[in-house]
Amino acid sequence: MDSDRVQLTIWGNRQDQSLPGPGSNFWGGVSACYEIWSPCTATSRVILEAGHGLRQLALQRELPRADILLSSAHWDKIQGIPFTPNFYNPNWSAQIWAPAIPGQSLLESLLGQQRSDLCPVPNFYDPTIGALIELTEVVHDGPLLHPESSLANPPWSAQACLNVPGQLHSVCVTVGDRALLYLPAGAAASKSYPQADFILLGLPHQTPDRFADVGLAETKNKMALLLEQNPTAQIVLTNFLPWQQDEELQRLQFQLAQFSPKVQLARVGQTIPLH
Amino acid sequence: MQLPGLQGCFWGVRGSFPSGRPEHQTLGGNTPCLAISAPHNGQTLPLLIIDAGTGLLGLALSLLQTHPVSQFDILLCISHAHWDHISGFPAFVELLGPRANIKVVSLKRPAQSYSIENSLRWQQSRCPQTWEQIQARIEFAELSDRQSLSFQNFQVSTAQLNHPGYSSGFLVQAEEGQLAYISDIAPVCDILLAEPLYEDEQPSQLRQRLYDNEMWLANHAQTVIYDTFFTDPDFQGRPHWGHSTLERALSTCSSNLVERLFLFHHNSEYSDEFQLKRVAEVPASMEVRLAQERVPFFIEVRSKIGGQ
Repeated sequence: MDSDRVQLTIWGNRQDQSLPGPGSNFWGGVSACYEIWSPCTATSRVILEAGHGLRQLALQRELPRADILLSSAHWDKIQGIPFTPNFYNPNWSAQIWAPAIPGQSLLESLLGQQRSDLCPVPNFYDPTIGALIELTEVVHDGPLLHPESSLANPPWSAQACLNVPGQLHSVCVTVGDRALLYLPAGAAASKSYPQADFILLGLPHQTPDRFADVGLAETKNKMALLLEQNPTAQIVLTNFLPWQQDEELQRLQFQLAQFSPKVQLARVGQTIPLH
Repeated sequence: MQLPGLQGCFWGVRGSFPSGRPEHQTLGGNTPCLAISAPHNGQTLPLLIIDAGTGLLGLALSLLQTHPVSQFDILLCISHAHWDHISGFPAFVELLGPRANIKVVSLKRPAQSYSIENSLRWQQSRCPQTWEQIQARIEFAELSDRQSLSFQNFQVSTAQLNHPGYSSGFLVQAEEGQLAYISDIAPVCDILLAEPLYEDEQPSQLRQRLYDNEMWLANHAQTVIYDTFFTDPDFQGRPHWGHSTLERALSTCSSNLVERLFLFHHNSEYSDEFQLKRVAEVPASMEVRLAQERVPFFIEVRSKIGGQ
């Protein structure tokens, strides 16, 4: 496995909702979607989150069978699905993983999203219309295993880390000898995670008046803890709030670069080698 | 005395889903949202908002910047609950918090259908902030077809349009000017998509009512905003999507003394360059413009308004 060739491509980097516009032309303004890929895994993909960025990914890449790992079934993490053509292609297949949420099954969230009053597009989960989609709700920490999933076979593997039990899901994806840990907003840094070479870290959910004090401090604390546990890891910050405009993110990048040179911000369209 | 006229500003102009692609940066990539204010006493608070697409958050940010200490009394008219028309709502109410007093206005649906309130509550159940945690004051008002509601110096009327389910256009009337919002809509002469509002309404009656509504809206406003998502060949291929064409917009507006037409609900399959070229080829019997985000426009008093 040529680990230098494992890549992370950023297709969407926002939490809550998309807000494209003049204030986000540089860093990007659509909701979260991250693709992990390598020429060695040409027949499979791992995708983190299915926000609006997923559509762009599907339009620009010929997407093979995919494992889609959701940190939650919140709207901003699934809203790209009804607009992604692959879901209406009977010859395409995917496995969607998400944490089990009491009273809100993954199927209910996906079907609810395409309720007739909310979405004019037919429900992809109908086998006569759509792709072959398997849903798995994650209940415990540990390896994500399913006989049909690419994650069950080398070079892929993935391990779930439920942060807030039943609500929020962090994940460590391994490709060959490279491990990427994805910690969305709300993931506790104090938890014991698998060792990682690369950490995709989501910003906390905050309003503008509280981010500068609370949100930034929380992010720095989290980064310090993570770097203590993973001294050689690179950190990519993402899941920006939709109101964070380019200028503010530019300032954030400057502040965090002073904190640690191993930190960078995720920019839509960017491909980052995982080494 | 010369009244200053209404001021409008689009915060979202795109149909179906938002786009961050470079080829959509001229017109803007957000889903539908229009703010209208009637400047008085030097204030330009956008009292009236039509649709809550992703652009609604851009409007909220602008409001907070320009009115750092104001309370906001807002009339939010929602045409229908398809995602592209409501997905800006959760972040909007969270950002404005207790400073916002919002009345949500929509077309009254039959009892067995989902109300706009139900759709917004479902959406909120999949967001970080629950409905109970919302600090903005929210009330709901449902209007029957062609019913009006007064709000400050505006009068807003609904009119059901030909779109899958229950979708409403809006007529906004004020002393200073009139505007009709006709989106989302498909030509009813070609295909019938809307659901009947009344138990005993036959398809032919529904078809006639929807046609009359479209003409009634266009007949009462000098400025019309119209869904031109499709090219003509697109419409032939996907008539059931519930959108219209430039040709249909021109036909509706030219027979109704409309002075200015905004083409709206842009299709992300086409670049802004394509849209600009399309509008440049329109014969000029009225002012035809592409709806563009963050560019204010004014609606002056019109000398002759269509019959009631």
